[in-house]
Amino acid sequence: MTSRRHILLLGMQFPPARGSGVYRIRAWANHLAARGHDVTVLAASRQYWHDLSGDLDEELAARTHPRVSVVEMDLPREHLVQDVARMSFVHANFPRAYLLAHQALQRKVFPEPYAPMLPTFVLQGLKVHRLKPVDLILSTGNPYAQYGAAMILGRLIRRPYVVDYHDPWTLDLWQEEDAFPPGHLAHRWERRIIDGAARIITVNQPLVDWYQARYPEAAGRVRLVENGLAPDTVTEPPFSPVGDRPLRVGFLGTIRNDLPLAEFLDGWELAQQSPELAGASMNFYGYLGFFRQHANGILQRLTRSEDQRVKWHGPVSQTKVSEVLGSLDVMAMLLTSSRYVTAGKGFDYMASGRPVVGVHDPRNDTTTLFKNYPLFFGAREVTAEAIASALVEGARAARAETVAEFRACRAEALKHTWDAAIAPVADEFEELMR
Amino acid sequence: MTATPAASVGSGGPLEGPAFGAYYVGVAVIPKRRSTIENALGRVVELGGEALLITADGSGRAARPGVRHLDLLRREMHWGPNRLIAASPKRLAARLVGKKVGGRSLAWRRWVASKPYKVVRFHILSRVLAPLNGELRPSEVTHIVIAGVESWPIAWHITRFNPEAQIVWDVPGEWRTPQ
Repeated sequence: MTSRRHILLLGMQFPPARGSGVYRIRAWANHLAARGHDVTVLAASRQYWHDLSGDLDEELAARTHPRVSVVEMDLPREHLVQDVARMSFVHANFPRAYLLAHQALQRKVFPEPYAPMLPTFVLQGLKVHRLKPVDLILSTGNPYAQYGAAMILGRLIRRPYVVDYHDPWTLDLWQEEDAFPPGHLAHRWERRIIDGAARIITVNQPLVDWYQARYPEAAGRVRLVENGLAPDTVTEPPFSPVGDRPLRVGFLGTIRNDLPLAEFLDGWELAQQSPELAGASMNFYGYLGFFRQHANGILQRLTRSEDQRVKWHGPVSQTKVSEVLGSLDVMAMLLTSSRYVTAGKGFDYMASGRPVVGVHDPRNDTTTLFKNYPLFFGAREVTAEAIASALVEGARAARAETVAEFRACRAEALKHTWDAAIAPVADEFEELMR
Repeated sequence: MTATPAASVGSGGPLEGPAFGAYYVGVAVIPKRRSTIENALGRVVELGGEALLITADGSGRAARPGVRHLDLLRREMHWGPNRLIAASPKRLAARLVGKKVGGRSLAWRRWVASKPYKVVRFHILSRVLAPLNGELRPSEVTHIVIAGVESWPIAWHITRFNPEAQIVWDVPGEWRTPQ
């Protein structure tokens, strides 16, 4: 244990926000606090998340380390308001001028729709520093304006700053090519941010390689911190052999529009012809997209046919994940397909100790994550036939799974905790704060 | 400018229908969006509701029977400094010698099409509408049908009077096809 320091964490999506980015921010805060440091998180207010997604995960927020203090900021969100009745006077009455001004801000100042938030982060960071001097600034997760704010704050208060990219900014993950044309302002901002950062952190080896190749002068400062399992919230689920009863197959996570839902449901229909899946049900747990306006469309895609025994059970607090995992026999892990993506939910799926069926392109980096998991059945490709085949294999394994296999799966999951992933880089933070 | 009177609902449409009690206001202040909104309002009236079409193109009454109509163009031309632009010297001189000049002045047409005016025009229309609350009856509006950003200022101002008014893009799906 080292001397107690004060770390300013720029993490807009801190709980009770919900969404896939929340867990990594929470893990950083809790880990650094558990090391004995004081952590102040700059996060968006509850009202912000309530307006945006309509849901909060208060149970997860209640499990924040006591040495973590959260500053809820009233972040500018006018650009996200789509309901005319709730718009500001200027936005509703001069929509063209408002839009032009917002576009000019992105074109000339900071190239992101969240650019108006940057000054709020900087001002609030300065306020926190004035009350209690900050030793290190850590900016984790989107929006990218947070990284800009970290750089500016670092310069103003002359403290090191670290940027933790959940998703890269200038790389299009899905197309696997530059997200912006050469010379775009985003490239200039990113270079400035990375040039000045004490450490640049990202989530998987393909992205580490990409950052090192793109910014060779910063290559020695790029670090890997994989996503992980939070054993304090995702505890060991109960296990009992399946026997002859119909299987319960499950998906857990945000049900986004870009998941291969159609291919999966086609595969599910095919797989039900197999005796292993006779009478089986497919159970989706999670939010329907990230924005409330997408929910109905996703639900329609999900429950397209009543006789397929496909059910949506609604969202699940991270604190209730074990309960859900314990009620499922096979996990169906639907992911988007990109070699730069490692799904955070993969760790929760591992924690189930049950067979996991990978419904994604094998190039997705999550495949690497599961290479030592004893009961992983990845579809060879994202087609109905290949998915059906993987589902049948998973179902067969579920029916035969023993307690010893369950233990082996759990042991593999416990190798991937957040603390294990963060600790080596957090050790380096101690050096930076000396 | 006054609203054209509503056709008697009893004469053509049902006395009571799924839209009975609903009061829809359609904001079609650019001609491009007008027909879609007008059709939606026509359905409201057919189904027993009340509907008002707001335009700003100098047109006459609404094409769909029973839909009341408010056109704001003349008031807009007389609003503040617009009066100077709309009343060109050529037109004034023609009037003095007893000639009738049709259409709107070149200066006005250029001004309305200019970028600076486009930025403020739809807000001005909402200001022009403000004294017409007696005809609009904003507190009774149940739905505001909008088409694009040009509808936002008027819709926003109606919701200031009546926060319960819902902003919609069309009538409900089940109303669209005649039963």
